[in-house]
Amino acid sequence: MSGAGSILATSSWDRSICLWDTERLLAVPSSATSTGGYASITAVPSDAVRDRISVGKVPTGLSTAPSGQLLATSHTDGTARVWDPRGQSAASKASDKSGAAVVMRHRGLPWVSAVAWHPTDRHLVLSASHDGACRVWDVRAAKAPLYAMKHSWSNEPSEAGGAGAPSEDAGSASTPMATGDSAMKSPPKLLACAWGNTRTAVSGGEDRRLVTWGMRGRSLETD
Amino acid sequence: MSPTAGEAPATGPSVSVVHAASLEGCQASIGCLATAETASDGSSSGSGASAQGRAGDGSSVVVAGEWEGGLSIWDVKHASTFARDVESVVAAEDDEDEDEDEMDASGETATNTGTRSKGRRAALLSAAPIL
Repeated sequence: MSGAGSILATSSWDRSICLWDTERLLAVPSSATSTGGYASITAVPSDAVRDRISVGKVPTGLSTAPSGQLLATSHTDGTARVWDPRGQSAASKASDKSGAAVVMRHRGLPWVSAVAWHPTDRHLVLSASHDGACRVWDVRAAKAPLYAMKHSWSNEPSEAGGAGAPSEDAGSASTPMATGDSAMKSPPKLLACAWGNTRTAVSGGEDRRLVTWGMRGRSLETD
Repeated sequence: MSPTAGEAPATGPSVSVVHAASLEGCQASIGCLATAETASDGSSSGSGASAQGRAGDGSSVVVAGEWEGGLSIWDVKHASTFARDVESVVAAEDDEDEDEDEMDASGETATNTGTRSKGRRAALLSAAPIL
């Protein structure tokens, strides 16, 4: 769920993104019940749905661009995608048959659990996936991520504590192994990611660690 | 404007990772993250009501929702937690709910497999700022 202005975007397991007019939702009079100050809307007016986009694959996460005009989604098929909900522009510039404007394919096609658009840079998207990596993408050149950061675990080759070997990514890094990780047989699944501020990414998952990644880059320096 | 139209593609890595910090202490898997930033004028934005205690130093605050219902708040700038386990925001399931969940499809009460413990809390799967 993500909001920009008076539009609320939701993604759901029916493989769709729905854009809601929040003013119409909040204008629902008697059908809303209130508990603890929050309104629970039980009867949604049909005209509250501005648009519905079929995304083909099950979406697991959603984030809006700083402009509020583009959407990024994460999916169970190893991809994160960018959508332009404004009419035909999405279809005419689609980069795959799903209609997405941009497709970011993760090596090994792990379940991608979350995406987060950079708060000010409209080109940068963060993704977290079940292969234990948090990736930074430039949506203008999305064939490979700019950077991949991994939560380390016990069976990982000796790249803990510093920059790892290059993989499919332009750059990579890993964290020191977490305390108590010795029993883990596979990389800890990452379940969430966010931007702490314009130069810090944060990831978390089943290893119960919150990992912060400080970043430096030309576009970030100007923020 | 679509990101694919009218813009030069990025050439080479324009972002590098210069630092990583690992914050340990969450009690369960982290299912969701939300962020807030406190401005130097003392105001806060994002999911920042809980950030008021450190307002004024430009702290970046991350709220982590855990799979066992816990909520922890972290100070990213100082790589520390200043208000951990503030509240378990999801109420523990009571015995009646647990019994209902253990009914099988035929309506008969299923054998307790021991996979669910009393007082288990539901997972927090999403968090978002209210601005």
